[in-house]
Amino acid sequence: MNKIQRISCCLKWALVLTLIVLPIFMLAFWWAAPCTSASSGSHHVSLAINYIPEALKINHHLSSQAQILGFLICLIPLSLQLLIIYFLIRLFQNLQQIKIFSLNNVTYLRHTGLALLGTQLIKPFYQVLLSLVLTWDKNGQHAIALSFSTSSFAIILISMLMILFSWIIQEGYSLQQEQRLTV
Amino acid sequence: MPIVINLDVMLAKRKVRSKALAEAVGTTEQNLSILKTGKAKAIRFSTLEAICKYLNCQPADILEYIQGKD
Repeated sequence: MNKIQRISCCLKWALVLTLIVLPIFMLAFWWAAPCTSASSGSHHVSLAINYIPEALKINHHLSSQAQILGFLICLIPLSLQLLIIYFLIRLFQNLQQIKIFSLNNVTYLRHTGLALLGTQLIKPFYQVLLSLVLTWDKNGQHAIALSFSTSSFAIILISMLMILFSWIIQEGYSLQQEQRLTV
Repeated sequence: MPIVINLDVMLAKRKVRSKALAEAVGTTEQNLSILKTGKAKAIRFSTLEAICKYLNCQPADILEYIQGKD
């Protein structure tokens, strides 16, 4: 097995593990009734995947309904992230089989870029929904929180670069095909 | 594609084998097969000249335009 195959295999299995573990972590997170208040002494194990806006502080215990709704809303960004991981798994699977210059790889790269862009475009919508749901229990006061950090801009830039590179590779492939079919 | 390749017809008329033509033109039989089956995207003038020279024919004998054919 050469270097590309070894690394692709390792990355593929790491991604498969992430694909399985990520939903389980999220389910466990919402089941444990999260509370972001520092005074409560509890800290999130899975802050990275809870999708709750950073500005939102929840100082009350969440009802079952809020937990379920919160989980359902978080399924929106989670499903996109799982889709990204799936496309990357297929990409590394192809690389493992030394199908390096395949047109399918270009498709996976483009779809990964699009899904990554999608995660940032839908962020305002699910964050608003989430903040509404999580603050609904509070008496008299509700909050809407949105967060858009520099990392979001970075992710948007990376996703657009991925889409651009996939287009360039596809054009290169078409040129190569034309060259190959020139007698 | 509206351009039809009649190379097979010319090869039959001149009683020449693909292998011989490929060797004379300086290409491979696989390349010639791409041309015969209509999969070719382009043909170099040098290749067309070599084919016409060997088969003693005109480009119009090998390339035909049929309007509306896809």
